[in-house]
Amino acid sequence: MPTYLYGLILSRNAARIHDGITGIEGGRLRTISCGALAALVSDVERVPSRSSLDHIRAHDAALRAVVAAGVTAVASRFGQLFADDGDTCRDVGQHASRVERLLHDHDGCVEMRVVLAHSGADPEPAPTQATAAESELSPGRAYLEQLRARAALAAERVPRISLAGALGPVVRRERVELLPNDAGIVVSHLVSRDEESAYRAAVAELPALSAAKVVGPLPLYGFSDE
Amino acid sequence: MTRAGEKRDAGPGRGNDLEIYEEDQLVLSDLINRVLDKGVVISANVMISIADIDLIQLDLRLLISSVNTMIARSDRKRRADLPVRTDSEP
Repeated sequence: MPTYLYGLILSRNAARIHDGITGIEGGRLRTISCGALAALVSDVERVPSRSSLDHIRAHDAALRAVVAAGVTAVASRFGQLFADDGDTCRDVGQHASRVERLLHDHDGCVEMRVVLAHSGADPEPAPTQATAAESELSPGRAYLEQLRARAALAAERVPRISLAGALGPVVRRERVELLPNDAGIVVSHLVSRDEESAYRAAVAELPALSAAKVVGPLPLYGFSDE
Repeated sequence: MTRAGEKRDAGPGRGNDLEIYEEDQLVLSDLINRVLDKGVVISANVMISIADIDLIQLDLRLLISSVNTMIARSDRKRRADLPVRTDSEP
């Protein structure tokens, strides 16, 4: 039965995760020991022919439940299936040293995300789908190329944003990114779990963030590539 | 998820329907972006294809950049795998 991977934690924290967490298609979340790391997994009876928003939500919700249990986790990219537990640990082992170092360095931390609507600079015309005659690329690929170019322009125009200075020492790390299609800006922060309340209070103090949405506490998503 | 400073279990302040819709879309966009585009990649093959995702009532454009990232990554890997051409080769 295939094994679906949600994320990774330090093995020593595995006992803190209770049995009642469920994941994709209601599968029971369990941990498998892969040396110093433990993989957060569930069994799936078959590879889903089509994934859905429910699957995406279930992936995130399972990880958030782990974080709520007091465990720092590194999120895995959605959609990673393995033939069985053995295969899972085998592949985890190839990335173990980096992930282990990340979890050791940030043990006790959570990711918080400040999501802001992008008020936008000059409106850009919507990308039009190129025809095969106009481009050597396939129409779909040409459309993606146009979106890529548009995203690059938007990234250059977005003012350099940093909230770390204003929020103070509660912020250990900061990442800023644009949401697709210029939908908004996300500022991710690495925060000590014990300082979540202080972090939220600091964000609430900033008038510029009065319309912002604060998401968290989360496993390490944006900081998973450190 | 709450507004900054609000208690997690308190209901958020409600604006008009359009504001609520836009806020929900923003949060949804962040959810999809972080789950699809962030996190460690352990498996050599992501077995659930992004193209197979059937997202109900969601603007497909929200996915394009995530797909775009995957294509760019795949392109970089393919270029890295190409044999290096030496000056002596035509």
